[in-house]
Amino acid sequence: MGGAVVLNRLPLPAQLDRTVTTGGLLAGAIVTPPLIALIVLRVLGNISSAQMVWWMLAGVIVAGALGAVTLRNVVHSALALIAAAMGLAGMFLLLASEFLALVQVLVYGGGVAILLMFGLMLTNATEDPVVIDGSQKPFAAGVGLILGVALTAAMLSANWDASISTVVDFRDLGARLYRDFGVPFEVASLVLLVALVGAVAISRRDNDDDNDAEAAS
Amino acid sequence: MTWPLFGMDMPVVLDLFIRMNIIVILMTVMVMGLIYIERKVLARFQMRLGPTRTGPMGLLQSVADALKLVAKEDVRPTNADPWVFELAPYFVFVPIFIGFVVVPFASGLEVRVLDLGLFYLLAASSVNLVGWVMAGWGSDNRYAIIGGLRSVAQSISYELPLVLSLLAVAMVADSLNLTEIVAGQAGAPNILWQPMAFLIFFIAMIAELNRPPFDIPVGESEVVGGPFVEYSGIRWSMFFLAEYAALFIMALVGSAVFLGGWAWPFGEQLGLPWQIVLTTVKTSMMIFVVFWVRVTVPRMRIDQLMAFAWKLLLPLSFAQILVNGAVLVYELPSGLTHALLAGSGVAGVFIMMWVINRSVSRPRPRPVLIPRTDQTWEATR
Repeated sequence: MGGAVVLNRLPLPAQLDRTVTTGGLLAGAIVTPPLIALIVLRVLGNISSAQMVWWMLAGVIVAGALGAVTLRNVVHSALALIAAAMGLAGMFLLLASEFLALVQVLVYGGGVAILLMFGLMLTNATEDPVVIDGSQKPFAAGVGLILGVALTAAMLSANWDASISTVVDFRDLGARLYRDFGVPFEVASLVLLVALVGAVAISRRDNDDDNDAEAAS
Repeated sequence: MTWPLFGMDMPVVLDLFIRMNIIVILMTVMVMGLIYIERKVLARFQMRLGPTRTGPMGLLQSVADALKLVAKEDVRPTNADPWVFELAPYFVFVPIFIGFVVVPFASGLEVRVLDLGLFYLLAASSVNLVGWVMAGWGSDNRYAIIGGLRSVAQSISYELPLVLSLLAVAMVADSLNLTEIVAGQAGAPNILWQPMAFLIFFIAMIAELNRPPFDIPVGESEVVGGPFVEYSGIRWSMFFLAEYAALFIMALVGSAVFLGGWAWPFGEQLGLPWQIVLTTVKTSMMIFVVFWVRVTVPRMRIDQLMAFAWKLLLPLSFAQILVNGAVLVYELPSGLTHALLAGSGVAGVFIMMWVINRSVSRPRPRPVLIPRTDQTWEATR
């Protein structure tokens, strides 16, 4: 990295870390101009506050998603995914849907931590990172393309001018979920239960002989 | 948009800034006090004196420690991942402090009243798990990564009983708004109706905080401090700050949700000073019991810990939620409802004690000695 070489020659105090300082300066250089542009637009009155926040969150989400795909290191990818998930939570907040935002944080905070664990257990991330780029690449590209086309078509055909509903009360949400749509909810949870039991059955198959683990507990 | 603070109307951003600053400063001082008190309490339990030399009765010990930590060199191992290592303390520290937004210290003395306050608190504090994993992985140290793995396993297991026990109380209180939950307890605290939920909450809280007897992720004798092995100076002190701040916030939430917070007894009638006394006393009681458990009970093994969470705490908290739902949905007369809730809770406490007693007093399986033959010798090599 060119910046690091320059920094190494500067008479900086030893406490100042070269890698982190360089990265921080680079990130600041990338992030600051759009931020200044947004604030200037806001002050001039061209966009509303909500639009300004929307653009910021969109930047965070896109950057996080790109990072999750492009970063070579598994753990770094997972952390970029957290940034994208948090950006999405912000989007939900912007849409005045507190409950969904909190669910997003709660589920993906823990979920990404588990993902990290899998990344750590199944790969050798501290050694030089391996690029998994196998023969399935065309299929993945095809699926991505189809999904992208479908989402774009849905977005283009959607009626964006529909009247925006007001904030849904948390109690109404619960009543709708558990009373009006109780059966679909239960069916969805049954699918999860089957997956859970299947995972336990598969992972327990190997060690039938260590029954003493249960006896000891 | 303006918001009144200390009797003055001020812009909403400034108001938020001032309130958050008060919280952060208060917490930093509170953590230093907590560390001093923990050392003193621990010392008294072990028939020692604790810190006595620094200042009167050793009161300045925490200040000295803090100064030392700030002045210490901030070392990073060469092989550590720079970004993950440097950012991990913030991921541990910030979610805990964000949680203070909804904690009600007294009537009208909170940063913001959120309708989903309890849920917000749990969601915010669940993020700090990521920080633990980051610290464990980023240090590139065997002990650190083992500690990180253990902390994930433990936190995920104990988050469920914690959330479910709080949910059981929220069903009884008919709200997730912390301020409303507290205000609704002016007559009687929720612990009377949900004793088992309180017990489960307390146990799961100790486990979530990684405090003894559940300090498996940071056990000094096993993984020499777990994810924090490689940290020093100001970054290590941030972990410490987050740990004690989490203890304080959990104790506050427990006292607010179960023990009546500032509302019981006579919180509304006797005014602000009495409310602050109530909050302080209840929170201090919770924290003292956490310290007490720490010196009394030896550290658990990881399989005991998991079995305890999944086989005992989780089924019981599910049962409590089922009972609560069944009792509350039929809108029985108030007396009968409360009698059923309290009865089921007390029964649950007795079931829990019976199961724990049975598993503790069961004769231990004697370790079997495998006679060493040539085959086993070859297998172990």
